[in-house]
Amino acid sequence: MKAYLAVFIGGLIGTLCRYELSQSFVSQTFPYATLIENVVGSLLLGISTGYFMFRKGKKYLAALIGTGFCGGFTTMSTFSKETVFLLQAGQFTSSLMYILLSVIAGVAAALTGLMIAQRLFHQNEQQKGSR
Amino acid sequence: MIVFYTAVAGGIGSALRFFISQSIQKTHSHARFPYSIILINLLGAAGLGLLTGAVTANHPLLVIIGTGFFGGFTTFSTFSVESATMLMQRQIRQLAAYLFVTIIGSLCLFTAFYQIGQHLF
Repeated sequence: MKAYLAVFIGGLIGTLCRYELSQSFVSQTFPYATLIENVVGSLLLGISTGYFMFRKGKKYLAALIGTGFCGGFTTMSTFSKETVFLLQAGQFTSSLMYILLSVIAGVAAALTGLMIAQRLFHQNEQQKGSR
Repeated sequence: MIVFYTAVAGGIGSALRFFISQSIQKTHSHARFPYSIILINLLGAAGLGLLTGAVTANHPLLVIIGTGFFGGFTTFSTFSVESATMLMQRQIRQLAAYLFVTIIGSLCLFTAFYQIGQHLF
């Protein structure tokens, strides 16, 4: 039950941040706000996934930050909606760019996050172990 | 006030996503393929399509349920991290299937349910 509460709180804060960011980045031509949110969220989840891999004890913090915040901050449903609306408006190039940018930058950000975490936290563990 | 409802709806959506992924992982713990996130993202795209088609633009429910609930329910970050993990493990065929099913599936479902929502309501 505690894990559900952690996910709920994280998701609430994540959704709030996504809402505020979307409000301040209104663009009629290209959905920059969602793109930024999805890429930043992917980077953050990459880092936190890598971090919690080495710290198995912090189950609730992982649920709060990873499943809750990062999951609530990023969205696949709004991404689909914006892509379909771009297609319906006849902006084929923009919609293709939006899909490619989201997927490539999202996966690249997640990879970067995982690698950053591995560098930072795995090394610390090894140093502690050698001493 | 709408901001508050949206945030709470996002929290509920996230908790529901957690519930579904936990239940699927319990029954299919040996499956390497991320079926739960595919199911969640496709369901969310269909639901948002139905809602967007059913209500008029600028309707407050579009923000509370659309941005809040379905936004919190679906996730792009887990999708990216799972794709990145497949890429690191050189599971290229699995990665291609995952990307294809998620992207094409959610676009098609959104469009289909958008039409259904427009005709039903």
